[in-house]
Amino acid sequence: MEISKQFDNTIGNYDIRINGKFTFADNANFRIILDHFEEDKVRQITIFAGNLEFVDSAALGMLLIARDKAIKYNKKLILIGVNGQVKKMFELAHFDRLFNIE
Amino acid sequence: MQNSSESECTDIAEAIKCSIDVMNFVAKILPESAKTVENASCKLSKQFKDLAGSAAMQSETVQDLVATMGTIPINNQVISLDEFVAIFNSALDDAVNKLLFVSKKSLEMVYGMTDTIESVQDIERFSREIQLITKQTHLLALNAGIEAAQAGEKGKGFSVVADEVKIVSTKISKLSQAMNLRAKDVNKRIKDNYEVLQEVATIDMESNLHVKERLDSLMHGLVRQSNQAMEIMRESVDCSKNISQVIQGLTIELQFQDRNSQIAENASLMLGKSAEILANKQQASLNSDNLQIFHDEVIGEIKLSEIRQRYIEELQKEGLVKHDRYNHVEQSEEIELF
Repeated sequence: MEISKQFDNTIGNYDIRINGKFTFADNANFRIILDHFEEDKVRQITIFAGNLEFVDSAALGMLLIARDKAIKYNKKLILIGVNGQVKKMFELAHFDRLFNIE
Repeated sequence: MQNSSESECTDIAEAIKCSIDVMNFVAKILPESAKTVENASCKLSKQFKDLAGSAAMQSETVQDLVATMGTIPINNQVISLDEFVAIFNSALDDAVNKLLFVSKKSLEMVYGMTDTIESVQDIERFSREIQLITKQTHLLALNAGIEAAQAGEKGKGFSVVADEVKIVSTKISKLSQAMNLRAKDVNKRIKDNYEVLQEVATIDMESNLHVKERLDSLMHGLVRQSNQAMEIMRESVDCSKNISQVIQGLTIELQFQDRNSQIAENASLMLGKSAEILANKQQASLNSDNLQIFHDEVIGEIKLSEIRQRYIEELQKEGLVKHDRYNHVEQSEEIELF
């Protein structure tokens, strides 16, 4: 999976774009995103997943950890543009009840 | 001439006698004919009633079938297909939730183990630094020993200290080497467990997706098929009801045999009375008064008002009775049920 990120200091928002296949192998890269939840300057993290092709159960687990961190550190987490296999997996896991998905 | 006249009278008397016999015979067979029609109609009516009953029963059976369609009996309980789908989906959701819970916890352990690996790597680094320090200490002790030997008698005490430092630094070196080996072992074990956790966290959920999709399409197909079957059965129920109603209508129509029997009975009575009157008055001359009495007696035999009325009208039309003669006749009936 490729990750690119951009921080908007004025509103405290991290725009994170993830492409390709999101699997267990990406746990170290994703931890960098998880660490941002602990930063005081961050208010919101927006994950753009429109070009995400595939997620496995480990990826869903990592997203659930991100949700826990967002709640713990009082941050807003938004997922945008899921489709294809990713959308089906989100539906199977009822992520629409757990995440703010746009 | 007289003989000829007598012969004619005898012929008329014979003809009337024959007519009386015919009338009596017709009066006898007319009710029999009506009875035959009545029996056949009753039989038909009973068969139609049975048929209507069967159609009604079929309608009820299909209705019962419609009521049971789209339901599944489970443990003395009857649940609908929708409820079954909900239960199955709930079980599937529960399984998926547990998978995700395991996956999330595995990832949390992975992150915890990553931190532990870093700590163990720090320990390995510290251990290597300790070994470097002990090497330097060992060298210093060696140098101190040489210097003590050169100092001769005065350096003897210092030589003992240098030997002790050498022994201590050797012990520290061995300990740090052992610690380094143990740290490497811990690191290896954590990495091995890390791979196990990867297997736990990475559960193939594609099969769950396929199960979910196939279940959804299967259930949609079942519900659609069940609805279609119910629709067909409802139409069958309506059809059976219609058949039942038509047959009931036919059964009612068949009740004409009562009326037919009554008409035949009245016709028979009229014929019988006519034969009786003719037999009694065979020898008497038939004048207009006698004819009037004849008609009165025949009319008196008629039980069915409709027949009586028609007969009177026929007589009045032919001018055989006066128009106002039967205006007083009561419309009393013995049998007039249809």
